[in-house]
Amino acid sequence: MATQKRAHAEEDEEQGHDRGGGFAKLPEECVAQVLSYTTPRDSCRSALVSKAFLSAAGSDALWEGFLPSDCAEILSRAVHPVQYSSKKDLYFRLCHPILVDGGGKSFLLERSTGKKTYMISPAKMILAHGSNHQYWTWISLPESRFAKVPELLSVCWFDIYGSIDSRLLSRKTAYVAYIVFKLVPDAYGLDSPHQKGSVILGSYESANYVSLQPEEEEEESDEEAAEEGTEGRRMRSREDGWLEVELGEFYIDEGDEGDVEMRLRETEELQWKHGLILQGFEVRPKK
Amino acid sequence: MSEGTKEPDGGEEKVVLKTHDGQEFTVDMATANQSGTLKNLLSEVGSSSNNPQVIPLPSSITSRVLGKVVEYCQRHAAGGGRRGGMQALEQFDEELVELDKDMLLDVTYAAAFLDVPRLLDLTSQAVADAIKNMSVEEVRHYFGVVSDFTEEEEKVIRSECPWAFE
Repeated sequence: MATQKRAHAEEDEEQGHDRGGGFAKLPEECVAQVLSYTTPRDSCRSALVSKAFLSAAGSDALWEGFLPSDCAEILSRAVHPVQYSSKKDLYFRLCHPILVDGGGKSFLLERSTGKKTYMISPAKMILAHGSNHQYWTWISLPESRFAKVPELLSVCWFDIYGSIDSRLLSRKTAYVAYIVFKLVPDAYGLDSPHQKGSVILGSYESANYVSLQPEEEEEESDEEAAEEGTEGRRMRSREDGWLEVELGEFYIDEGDEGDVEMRLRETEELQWKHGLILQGFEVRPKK
Repeated sequence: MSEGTKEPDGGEEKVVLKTHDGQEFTVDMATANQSGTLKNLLSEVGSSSNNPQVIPLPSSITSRVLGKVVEYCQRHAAGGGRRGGMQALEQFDEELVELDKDMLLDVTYAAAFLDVPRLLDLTSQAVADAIKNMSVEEVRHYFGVVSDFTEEEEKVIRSECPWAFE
């Protein structure tokens, strides 16, 4: 290592202080060191700077640092073993969801930052009347990441609850909890003004009105919604073909806060509801 | 404060660092040992106060750059027990890396060459903060680097992670 550094020093010697000659001033291990303090996104982009950067931006040491520190433990919980050729390869494999904990959750890394994202399977959630076939039916869908998902046939007492241990999530990170779902064409009753999404973590609690149905034409414009601060809780289409709505936000500090408890319920107005297909609750870092 | 040559005092072991531009820095062993490179070298050749070892440095480590590194090493050799404790030391570290771009890169190089790990962490963090969210062109300009890729190679790298360029 010392002789390598000397060799670099001697190359420098010839160039004096001219910085035009590639990256002679900083050897590759220095570039990798600098990149380790940036983000996966910055590192991927910097691969295009020069060949020295390309090499540094692909190094195992760099990507080891971007992977979660408990990566080995996460991989040991995977339902299907994850194969990979390098740390960078592993990182990008984990940017696509993998099933963990016997299929009760799916896990992935948020690509730009390497922070942890989980989705909780409905099978591990508590649904009011969830096992009563009059109210809910459990179906298999090719586009679902979980084996079985519940479809709402008909209820008026609507209450779904899921939780995740805060130790599983990235520390010092603001998260948003979402309900991920689909609607059958004749869905109804899922927009009651008394329908509330909530997130509880320790002494912290947030609660918001959450509609699971598209808004009517004459609804407020984006600007009005932004003014009222409800824009973030609008229904959005996801890349995986499902829909999502925000249930609430929370902050993971040291990961010793206990369980994050998420809930969506409408038990006041009690109008009949129909046509929700539930993929799960997702927690992912706030953008 | 640490630039120029000091007379060795009291028979303590000393070592002389000589820059390409002819300046000599005489430092004690505790300061020199902050550098992994110097520590290894001196454990083989030794040094004394009467006949201090003179170590020549490459041209990229100018007297101004070495001055910074020596300042860091002296302060950290003394540790947090002096001049206001750990808090003062942390503040010293923060202020040390408030440098213009060229100086910051030179000190980064010197910290790597001399193997001063904590100083390298500090400067690497400062460089990383500076280049965060920069475009590829801006990063090249920052480091004074010219692309050595063909157009075809650039296309391949871009296509591997188009999201990083959005």
